[in-house]
Amino acid sequence: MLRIVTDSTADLDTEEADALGVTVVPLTVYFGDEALLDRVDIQPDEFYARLKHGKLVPRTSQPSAGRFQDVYGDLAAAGATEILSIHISAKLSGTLNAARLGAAAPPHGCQIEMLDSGTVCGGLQALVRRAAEIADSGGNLNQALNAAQALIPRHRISIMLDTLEYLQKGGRIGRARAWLGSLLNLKPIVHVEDGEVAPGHRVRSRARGIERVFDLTNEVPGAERIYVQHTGAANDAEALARRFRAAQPGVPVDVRWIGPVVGTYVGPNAVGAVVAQRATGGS
Amino acid sequence: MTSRAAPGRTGQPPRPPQDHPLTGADLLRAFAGASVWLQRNAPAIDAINVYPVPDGDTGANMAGTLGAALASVLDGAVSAGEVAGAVARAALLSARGNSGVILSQWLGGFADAVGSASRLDGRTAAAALTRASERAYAALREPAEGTILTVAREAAVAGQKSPARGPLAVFAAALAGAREALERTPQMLSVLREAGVVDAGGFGLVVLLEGLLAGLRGEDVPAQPHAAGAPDAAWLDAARSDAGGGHSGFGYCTQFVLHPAPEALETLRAALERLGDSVIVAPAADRVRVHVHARDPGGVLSLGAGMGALTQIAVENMQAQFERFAAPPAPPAPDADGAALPSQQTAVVAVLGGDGLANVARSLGASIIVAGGATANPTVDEILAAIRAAPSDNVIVLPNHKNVVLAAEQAAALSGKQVVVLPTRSAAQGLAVLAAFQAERPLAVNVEAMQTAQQAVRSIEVTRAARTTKLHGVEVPRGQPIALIDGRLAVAAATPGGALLAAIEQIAPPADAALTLYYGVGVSGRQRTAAARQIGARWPELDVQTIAGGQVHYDYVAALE
Repeated sequence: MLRIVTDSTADLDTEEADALGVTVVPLTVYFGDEALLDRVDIQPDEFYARLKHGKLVPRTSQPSAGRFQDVYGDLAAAGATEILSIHISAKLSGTLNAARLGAAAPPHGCQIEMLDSGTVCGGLQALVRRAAEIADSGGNLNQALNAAQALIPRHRISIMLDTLEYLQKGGRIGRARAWLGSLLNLKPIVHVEDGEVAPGHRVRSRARGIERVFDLTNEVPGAERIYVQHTGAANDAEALARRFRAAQPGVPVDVRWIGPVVGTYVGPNAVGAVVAQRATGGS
Repeated sequence: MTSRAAPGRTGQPPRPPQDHPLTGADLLRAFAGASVWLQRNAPAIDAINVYPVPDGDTGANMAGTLGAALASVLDGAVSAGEVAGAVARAALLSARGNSGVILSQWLGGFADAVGSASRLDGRTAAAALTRASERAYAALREPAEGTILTVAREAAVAGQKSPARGPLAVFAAALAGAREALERTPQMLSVLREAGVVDAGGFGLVVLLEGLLAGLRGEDVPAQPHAAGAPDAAWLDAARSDAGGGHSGFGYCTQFVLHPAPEALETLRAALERLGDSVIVAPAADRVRVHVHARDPGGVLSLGAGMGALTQIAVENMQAQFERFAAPPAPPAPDADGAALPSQQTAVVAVLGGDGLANVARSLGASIIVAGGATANPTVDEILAAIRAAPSDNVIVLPNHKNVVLAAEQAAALSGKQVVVLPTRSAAQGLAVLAAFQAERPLAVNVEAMQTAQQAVRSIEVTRAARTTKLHGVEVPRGQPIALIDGRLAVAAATPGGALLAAIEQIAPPADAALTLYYGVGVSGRQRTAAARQIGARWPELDVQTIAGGQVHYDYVAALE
């Protein structure tokens, strides 16, 4: 039996994860000494309220290798013979590394494979959903790995930030570093490319930024699903989702929060979209 | 397949332009065509430059001279006489090198004959070509045949003989005469024959007339320049060993403008001839342009400085130019050491007047800022130098004023780099467009992103009326605060702040738009606070950012996105 494991940066709710049969390992957010498990001990709405109004700058950390070892052991004990563990880009987090260490001595009779998604949020979720479908329909580890891998170049993340400040503070700014120091108050749109944050466009007004996010997402052909994501900009996100539903009827569009761990770097008031394309070929 | 004529039109090809007398605008268009075509062919002209000194700069000098002259007269001239006069005056100041000075004299003679005529008819055109040729000859004490002078004269002769009366026919006949004369230059000048080329300056004049005609006919000049010839390799070798003797070889091309012009020009000329050769003494109004090839440029400058004030001083080492010209094409440097700026995929050159504006541009990734502004348009040379200094072979130029676009295009054509000029009309628009720039992306990607950004921004400039004008039939007196929207006069008001508000009102921004407001040095703290407060009250949703632009002539420059 094949089981799928991911981490909390895939932005899956507990109910969704259960329905998909996916095990989610949470990362940790710290406010000072206070350690909170991502999406377990702290939910996004509460997190962004604290981020905006609190004085403490949060930090994040990956799950421990031991935590992964436990998860893999529990799944094997429950009958898993194959496990595919899909995680946030290794350039953005040490989570994959912890998972690899946790799988160093696999439980007897269980094969574990790792996949660096090279992405995060809805992008990671799209890979996990694809793998879960294959597991659900009785596919094996290789089939799930190949299918998920094939999706890596077949999705696009575009997020309009309110400020570059949080990316910079958190050391995740990547190639968007060139944008620091602008004397104009600009709204940057960032992507995740080759596993790291990449600068896209930047515009002066929020309205035009959202317009760009719409265009950049809508122009991707063959959408299977669109995730509209935000860090406390629910109204903008709902308006954006309505536009996608009107432009691409029949494509599922859901609005969801960007979770606390990724939100630590994205900062409040961001809104963006992730589009995942359908698989190629006859599958 | 069927074809259908558009309503009110037949399927005939467009009629050829009528050969009517030329207005100032016609003449300006003609010169612009000549300038663009000269720029495009400058490398081909340079390649065959062997006389009087094989320094490979004739094309660049002629193109630079006409280009800089045009850049400074683009606006305001209305009559043909005004255009010709303005081009000639500016060319005298911007003239570069032997051929550039001769061209400036040719343009001076041309303008003399046009006089104050409001339109240029065929008869005047023929007279202008003749006077132009005469002035070019007069600039040199011992004019040589087989040069640009011969081509100029034969062009004038052919123009005079033109049976048709219109100026277009005259210029067309002159071009035919010029081409014939050019072919015969090697028969008249042995150095050309030995090197196996036609005269570079004469070729330049043919190119100029070709561009002029294209401009008159409203055609674009061809995208591809003439095929470049080259001097015979054995001839170049011989020239190299001839010139190798002294430490200064060909000496220094030394030029300046002397003001006021001395009474006795012949005395000046004689004194210069004792110091060097290729002497040109070219008077115009109250000043005189001097050009001489001398072993000792210091002596020439001292002589001039003893007679008046010197401006536009230029000294070029012709030996170094020759060595560059005669050298086999160098392999690309393995790794350019000492490069001032790290190389990037694409770089931006922006023309801006005002420290604050320049700082914003740098913060958005512009590499080089060329000083500009309402009354201080940069020359082709200044933009060219900036493009060459930009840390990339792919450069985007933001002229930020309509009068700078042509100079920027000319500099682009001369630069030898991949250059795209985005015709931005104002500083505010240029900065808004610059926000879309990313140094590590390829040129084409940046151009597309920046063009998209350009479409989404409206710009406002608040200044004072430079002359009494009319707006919607109402007189706007000189000095009154006015606002331009996207470069067009849109609003007149009692105060600069009032003009700004009225302009925003006219654009009617959507609630969630953003306004970037750059205030000039003439705006007091109280005034800008009041303006910001009024904007906030009238458009509470508008995202307003206020920045000290440091610009002189505009009270406010603003971008609405």
